[in-house]
Amino acid sequence: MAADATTLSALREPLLLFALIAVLAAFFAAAWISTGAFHAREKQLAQQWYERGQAELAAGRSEVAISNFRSALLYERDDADYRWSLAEALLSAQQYSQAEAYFRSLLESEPADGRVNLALARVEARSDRVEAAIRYYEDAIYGIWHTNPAEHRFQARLELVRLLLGRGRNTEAEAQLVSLTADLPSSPAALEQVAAMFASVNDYSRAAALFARALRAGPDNLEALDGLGTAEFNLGRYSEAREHLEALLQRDRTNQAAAAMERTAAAVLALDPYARLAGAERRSRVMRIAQAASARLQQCSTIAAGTSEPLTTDLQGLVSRQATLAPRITDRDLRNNPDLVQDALDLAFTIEREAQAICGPMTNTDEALLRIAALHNQ
Amino acid sequence: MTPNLQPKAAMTARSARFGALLRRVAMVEERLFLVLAIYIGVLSGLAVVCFRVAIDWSRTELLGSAMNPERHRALIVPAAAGIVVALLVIWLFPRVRGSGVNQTKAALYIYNGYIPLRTAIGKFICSSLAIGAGHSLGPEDPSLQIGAALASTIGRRLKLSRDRLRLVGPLGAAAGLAAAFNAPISAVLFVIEEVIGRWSAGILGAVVLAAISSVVVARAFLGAEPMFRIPAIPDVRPAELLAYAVLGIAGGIASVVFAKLIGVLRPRLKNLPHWTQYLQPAVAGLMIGAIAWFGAPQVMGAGYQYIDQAMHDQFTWQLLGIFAGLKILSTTLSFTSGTPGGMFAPTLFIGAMLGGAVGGVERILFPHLAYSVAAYCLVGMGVLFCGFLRAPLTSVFMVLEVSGNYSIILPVIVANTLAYVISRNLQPVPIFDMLTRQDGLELPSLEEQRDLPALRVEDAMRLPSLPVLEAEELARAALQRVEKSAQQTVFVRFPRGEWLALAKGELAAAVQRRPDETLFELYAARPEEQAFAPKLYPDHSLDVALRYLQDSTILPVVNRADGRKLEGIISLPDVLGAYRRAGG
Repeated sequence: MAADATTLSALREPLLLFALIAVLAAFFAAAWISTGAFHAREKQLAQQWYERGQAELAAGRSEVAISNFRSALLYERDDADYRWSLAEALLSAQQYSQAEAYFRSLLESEPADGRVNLALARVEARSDRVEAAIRYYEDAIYGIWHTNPAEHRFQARLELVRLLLGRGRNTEAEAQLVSLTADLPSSPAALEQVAAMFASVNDYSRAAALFARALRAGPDNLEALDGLGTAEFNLGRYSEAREHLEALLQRDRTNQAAAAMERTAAAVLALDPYARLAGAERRSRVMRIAQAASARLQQCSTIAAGTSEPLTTDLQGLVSRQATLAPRITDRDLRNNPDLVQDALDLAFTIEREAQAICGPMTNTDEALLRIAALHNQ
Repeated sequence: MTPNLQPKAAMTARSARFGALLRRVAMVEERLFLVLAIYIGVLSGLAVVCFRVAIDWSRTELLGSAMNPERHRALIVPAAAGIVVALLVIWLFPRVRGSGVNQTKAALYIYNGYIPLRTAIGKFICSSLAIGAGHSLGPEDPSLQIGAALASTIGRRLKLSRDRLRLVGPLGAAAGLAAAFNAPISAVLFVIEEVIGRWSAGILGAVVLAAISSVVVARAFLGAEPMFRIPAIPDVRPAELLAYAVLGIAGGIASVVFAKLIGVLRPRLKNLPHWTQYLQPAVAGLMIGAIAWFGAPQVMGAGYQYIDQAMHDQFTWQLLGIFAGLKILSTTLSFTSGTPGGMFAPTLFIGAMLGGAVGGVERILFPHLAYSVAAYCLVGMGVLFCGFLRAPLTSVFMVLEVSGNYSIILPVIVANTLAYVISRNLQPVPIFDMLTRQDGLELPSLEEQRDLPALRVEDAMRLPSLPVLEAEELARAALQRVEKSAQQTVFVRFPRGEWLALAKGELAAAVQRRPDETLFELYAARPEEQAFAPKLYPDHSLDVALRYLQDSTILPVVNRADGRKLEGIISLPDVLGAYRRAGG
């Protein structure tokens, strides 16, 4: 018995150590098994709620989708896709500040994420915080896009341009557009979009070039044809403008603006006295121009009489100048006195400029005269 | 017989060698205790991991997997779970009622570190069921107690000395809390502030080791992410500190309301007839279910997912305020009904909601301030933790640890201080002390110690009225100088700052023997003649003075910068007088 007791006593320490290790191993196994099983269950639940949320969001039930995405996040709280989807659902439910909070948290985990920066830019733009929106748009443009980066960057910059145009910041918008042309996609729709934006900041040269590229890619593209004709018209390339506008009008007769431009372009081409012409034709054009200006001046006098308000001093001076000059504007006098050609044209252009603000709507001829004057810096 | 004896003898010899090896290698008691701390930390961490999984699992099984439970489940499940929990608590685990913090503290100060293993098992089962079923309680307090009970059990099996056994409980408590909070510093501080109740360098290292090892284990299984995902917090402008001060005041008042509600309701429910204890958790569950039924399921369970939502600006300030109020009510109901579970998580919930609500109001009133709802929620959590649980140090570190954001420290300190001051003034007894007193126990607390003035030597010493002799003086001349003095003791000052207290009779006797020697020659050159007086300084505690003072001795109190300068004198009656004055 004494030997047994000694043995037991001697065994006590190793047994104790063994017991401690066994207890630790048992706890470890329990923790391992339980967490493993529960994490698997969490993943499964999260995926289920996420899929439900996606379905609800697609069906337009944003509120239900929000609840589902929140449930998904309960189990996978750091999953960026779930957080992204929740933020999108919140946006679609017009809960902007809530969406912004989630977008911001996503941004913290990936500050260079183009998608998140773009979303935040939209939120800021919607809240009229333009400077912040511009900053996020720029971060989106230069950020990381995991799929189709060029297209995403292009769209982000387009949105930025739209924002700038909407706020009247045309110079900045044009600068962005110029940057955009460096990596421009070749699709006609993209070309057309950018060209239209160039046109809206009066950069008709680049607009025309891009519309022309779009048209080459799709010759039946009426928008591109319209844009190209309009850009050429504004650039003073009336011959090409007329050609393209006529082509457009042959396929779309309802386009009134294009028709008006086409008529004006035709009038410019018919009246331009500075074109390479024979002398007789030039004199004939000068006489027609003088007649048109005289008619415009007459229109002014008629309007003034109708409103019983006297003509402005400038117009009265033009009336007397016109009365002095008109009898001399004949083919013979014009041929004999080359200076008279310039005097007649100066008077006609001056009449048209003075009349445009106060003498009622212009005819295509009046507009053509103004454009001829502008074209030749008269 | 021989064949049987030989292996046994060999085994005994091997065991003896093994035991000796163990003893030789590392089983010095101090080192063993540190190794044990790590072991307890790992074990507690594993237990808390299982406990957290059990809570989450029971929640998904009982309330469903959706963020907000279905209404009929929300109404029925907490009540049904309440009945089961009541039966378990009354029949099988009677010790799991109440606060784990107080029970661990009671084990430390009253029961020599004894916490039965059954308590850990009971806490595990009952708390995971109750919290998972939607009772408004948190897992941290039970985790603390599970850790403490496991540690106590191991300590008993290892037959630790009584002192060591008392200390292993707090080790387990720190480990359990650290794993539950994923915040080791806060856990260590909390255990020191609320469980141990005093700063003790002797145990600090072991507590830190246990907490860290448990957090490492918990992170390995549950992930290393902080408890909350905190959105970016802008730097706080100085003007905004005023806004946080308002939050501190609101939090202080809310803490007092919360504590008073518990303080009033708990004894009343305890004093109801015994049979009602079978029903109390169920009734509390039913009322919480009713709150959820009427549209506030956020009050159910620990509520961490809703804190996360609040930080991400998902609720209006009005809703946040309502949630804070309803959570105070539902937690009071759950806790006072005797349902096992802790108040940490609800406290954080209430603080976060209150913080968000106050921040929301301030956003409307002062839109120019750099508002961040997450910052207000975080500070609010700290405020309630400080005001309600009255753990000011822990509250600051807890906010920093769970957020990982140190830029918020200034608002946290401002708001917490205000909340603490308000709470202390309006509710002088801290919640844990109140609960222990309701249970008929008196346990020490760090707050009490902070309240007691620390008595120092300077509070007891008198101005020096005794003659001071210089060591260089001739003994005979020195005696002549002091003969006329009425004092019976004289001090001799030595060149290097040593002091000697001499009875006048002793000096006279020495002079008779060697009249022509200096005092230095008489005493310093013959150290066996007289030991120098111990050095006391004015800032020494009176405990230090008491160690040296005999019934009749008078000791010099000297200047720390100049040991030859006498600041005062002190005797035993002086010390006792100082204690008497401080006492009353």
